[in-house]
Amino acid sequence: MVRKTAIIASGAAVAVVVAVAVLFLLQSTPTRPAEPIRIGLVVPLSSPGAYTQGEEIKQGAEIAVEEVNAKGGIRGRQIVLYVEDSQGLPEKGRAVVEKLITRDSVHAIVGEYHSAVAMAEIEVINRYGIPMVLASTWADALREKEYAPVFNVSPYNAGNADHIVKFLMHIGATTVIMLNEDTDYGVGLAKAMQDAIRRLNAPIRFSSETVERTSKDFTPVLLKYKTTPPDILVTAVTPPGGFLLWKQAYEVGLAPTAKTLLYDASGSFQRYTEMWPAVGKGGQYMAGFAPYAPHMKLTETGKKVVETFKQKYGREPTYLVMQGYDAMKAMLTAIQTADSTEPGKIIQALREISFEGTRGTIKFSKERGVYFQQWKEIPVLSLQYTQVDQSIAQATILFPVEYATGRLARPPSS
Amino acid sequence: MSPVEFLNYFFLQLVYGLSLGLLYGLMAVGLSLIFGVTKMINFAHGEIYMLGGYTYFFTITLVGLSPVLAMLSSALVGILIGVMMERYVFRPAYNMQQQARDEYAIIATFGLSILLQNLALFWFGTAIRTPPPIFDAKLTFGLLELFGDRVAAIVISSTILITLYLYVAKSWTGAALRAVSQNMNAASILGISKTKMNALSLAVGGGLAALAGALLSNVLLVYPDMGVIPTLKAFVIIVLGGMGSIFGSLVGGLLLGVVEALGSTFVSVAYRDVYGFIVLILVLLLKPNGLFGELARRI
Amino acid sequence: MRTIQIPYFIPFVALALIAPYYLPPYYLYIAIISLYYSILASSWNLLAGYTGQISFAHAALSSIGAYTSALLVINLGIPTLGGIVMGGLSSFVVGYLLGKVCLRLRGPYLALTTISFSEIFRIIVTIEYEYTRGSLGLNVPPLFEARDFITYYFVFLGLFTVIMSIKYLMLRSRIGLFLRSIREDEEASNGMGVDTVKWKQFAFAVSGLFAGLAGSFLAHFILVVSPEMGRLGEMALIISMTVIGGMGTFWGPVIGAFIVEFASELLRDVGRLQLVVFGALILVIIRYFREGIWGYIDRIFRGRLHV
Repeated sequence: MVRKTAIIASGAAVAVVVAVAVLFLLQSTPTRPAEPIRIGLVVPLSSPGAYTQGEEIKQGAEIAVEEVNAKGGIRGRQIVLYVEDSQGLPEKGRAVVEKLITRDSVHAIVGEYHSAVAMAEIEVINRYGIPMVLASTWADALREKEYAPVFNVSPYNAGNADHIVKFLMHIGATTVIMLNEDTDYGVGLAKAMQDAIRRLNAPIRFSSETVERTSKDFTPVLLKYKTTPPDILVTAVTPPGGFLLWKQAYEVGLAPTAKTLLYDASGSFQRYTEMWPAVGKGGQYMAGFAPYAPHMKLTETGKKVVETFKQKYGREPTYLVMQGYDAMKAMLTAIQTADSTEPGKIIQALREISFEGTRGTIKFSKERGVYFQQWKEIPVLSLQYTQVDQSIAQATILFPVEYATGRLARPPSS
Repeated sequence: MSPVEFLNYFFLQLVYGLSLGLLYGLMAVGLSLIFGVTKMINFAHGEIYMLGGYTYFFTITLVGLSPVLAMLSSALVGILIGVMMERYVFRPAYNMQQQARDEYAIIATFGLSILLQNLALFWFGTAIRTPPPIFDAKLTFGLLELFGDRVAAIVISSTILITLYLYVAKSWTGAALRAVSQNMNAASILGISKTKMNALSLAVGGGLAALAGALLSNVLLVYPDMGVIPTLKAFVIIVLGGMGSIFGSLVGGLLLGVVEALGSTFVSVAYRDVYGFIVLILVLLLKPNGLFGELARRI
Repeated sequence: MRTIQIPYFIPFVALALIAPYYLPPYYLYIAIISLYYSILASSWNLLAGYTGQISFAHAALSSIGAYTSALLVINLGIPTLGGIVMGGLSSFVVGYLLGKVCLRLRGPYLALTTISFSEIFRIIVTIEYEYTRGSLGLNVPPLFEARDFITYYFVFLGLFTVIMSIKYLMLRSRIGLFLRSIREDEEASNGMGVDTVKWKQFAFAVSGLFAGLAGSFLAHFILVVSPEMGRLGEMALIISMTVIGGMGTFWGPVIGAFIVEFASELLRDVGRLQLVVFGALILVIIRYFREGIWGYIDRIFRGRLHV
């Protein structure tokens, strides 16, 4: 009698244990893989776009995505990148953004390098309300449009102009001549410089002149200023024009001299492998603006990105890699915080988040105008080469003072 | 500016302007020669200039040739391209009527220039190359400061131009070239091979363009679309000087330099490239065959 | 000139009318751009393929139409349709004046003058940033508030149909004969009593009008006008399309436009090599297949398609 009860009891116990175990196992195994998060990446990857730069932004963004996916994605959902080539043409930019949103149903878009193309792309973005973080587009107009779904992690002309003017004040330059290229970037920067001088009440006599970017001969305009040389010649011309301009400024004897310094506001003086053969001795003592330098103070995140990049590609990353990373990280952080892929929620999250980027804490400003949804405190630098054939990592960081690694050097008076 | 300062400024403008005009003149002469003899325009001229520049750069940096040998190899590349162009692009058009031939030349050489430019972009990438200078020094003549390489390029190109002019004016081959440019059919009746003369003009024209690319590679840098502006300038020059005239190309080159210097000084620097175009249109309005128009029959 | 065989057309017309409802928006967008280029290439063909004036100013004329319309609509507030009409008119006038300038110029000189003109225009637009926003691009109000492509598709299809019909009627009449005689041999044609001056100016003006209209419509579709529209690279595209499709043929430029535009979209990854291929195609076709792809197809049908 006892035996029968015992058998039934133990049988029931086993059954219960088995049932609980089975239920437990069933619950922890997903019956379906979680739907991936689709993010569009729009960059120039072919001519006439700047495809080298576009490629670098892509590399940075990919590092951010791989980082998150390696940790299991966002709430178990893997990130899938849809890469599209905007070719540096506004109508292609429109077309691919349209395609990403309607055909690929992406939840968000990151990228772009050309401001003119971004101008066309944000129109589509704004119409559909899909969030976008711009990676490296400097035009103030993009921010001034104040489109709710659009956010910026890149340097911006107004901010750069601010920095440059503060640098000019720091070194005591009072007469400044600027030569800018005939593009939106060049003309925009010249205007931003004038605004900054006025706003900061800088004691600077400033005059700018537009030159043709594709020109091969700048000697006429350089000679014009040789008669009354300024304290500093600021150039905002990209290569090959930029290189020719510096080469000829040196040839003509305008800058860099003891009296007149040379300053590159386009950032292209960082392309030192191409610059030194082209410009030669004219590059010694050249100062310039850079959104980034390998030897600047980075955050822990930044240092990790540099390490990862070096392992993957065997060379130092440029700032475009950092921009690509920061832009993608911003979007991923927002999606994580919002815990949703609904555009409205992501946009709301983007407005509130604050996270560690590669060079500092990124937070998007709520101010109107040119600071709208821009990472206002993005650090930018002024550096100077002191010897011929230096790499950018060997150049002296001059400004802001908290990043400085040395003082301004002047060419000896001849 | 005081009057003295202004004069100095103008003088310096002029010299830099002239120096560039002369450099472009080398391109123009080649183009002019080709047009004068074959009666067809060559839109791909700038690409030969570009390939000459790249050849010079790569033979110096990768192969390690001396500057002189590197220049010769550039010229050789130019000559080769010229000869191949004659054989495959120009020759099919000899029997066409003039209008059809004009049309064919424009379209075919335009297509060739698109092909070559993008091939270069594909092979070499957008990075800007600069070969090391031949003379790494600046020369000073009073107020005037010039890079050694710029002076060298001026001297060499002037020498080449003068030599070419004398050769074409005095030698037998020169006479043959002139004969073909004046009357292709009559010349061939006299036993001058029209094909050989055309090939010669394309070889020389191509060689000159490539050489210009090599000479100017350090001064103006090397990149895939470096030939676009020199081609446009060369066109302006040969229109000014008259297509088919070497002397005209020299004059045209100097004229262009002056026009650009004047425009930049008195009007605006930003519109620098526009002045040449405006002058081109004005000249063609008044003299539809160029300044030295029908004189172009004489090389 | 033989009549077009109507039956051959029906499938294409049907396709053109039904396609927009089935194509994904991206491909519809490409189709609209192809229609734009078809109009541009066809109008260039009128000037170059039929009248023998190889002008390099065509992209600039389209650009002039676009900027005129954009600036008038933005600064004077006139309705977009009015802007477009003005755009077309301005290109008509400029085309006419350009034709006058180029009257006595032959072959290479004509090419050079039109190149100069094109470059001057592009440089001025870029530098006069204050008025034209330069290379950043001018933002332009749309033609319709609704942003669905289907409406715009039919607008462009309509414009395309109207322009091609006008072209057809023109080319079928004496005008077509005159124009073609000018291309064949201008002097002989003049000698036979054809008023070459009048008809050359006519070709310039009318092709300019079509280009300007196309450009204006495009501006109010893609909502951005930039100097890129008028650069010589655009000209290279137009010439490629016309030559590859068939210079001097009626449908050649249209086929060329669609082929080149779709090819460049689908072969995007190949990038720069695309243009290498187009350049090579131009060379081969102008040498061996003067009437392009259309001419080749025409030969297969033994001339029955010839328009």
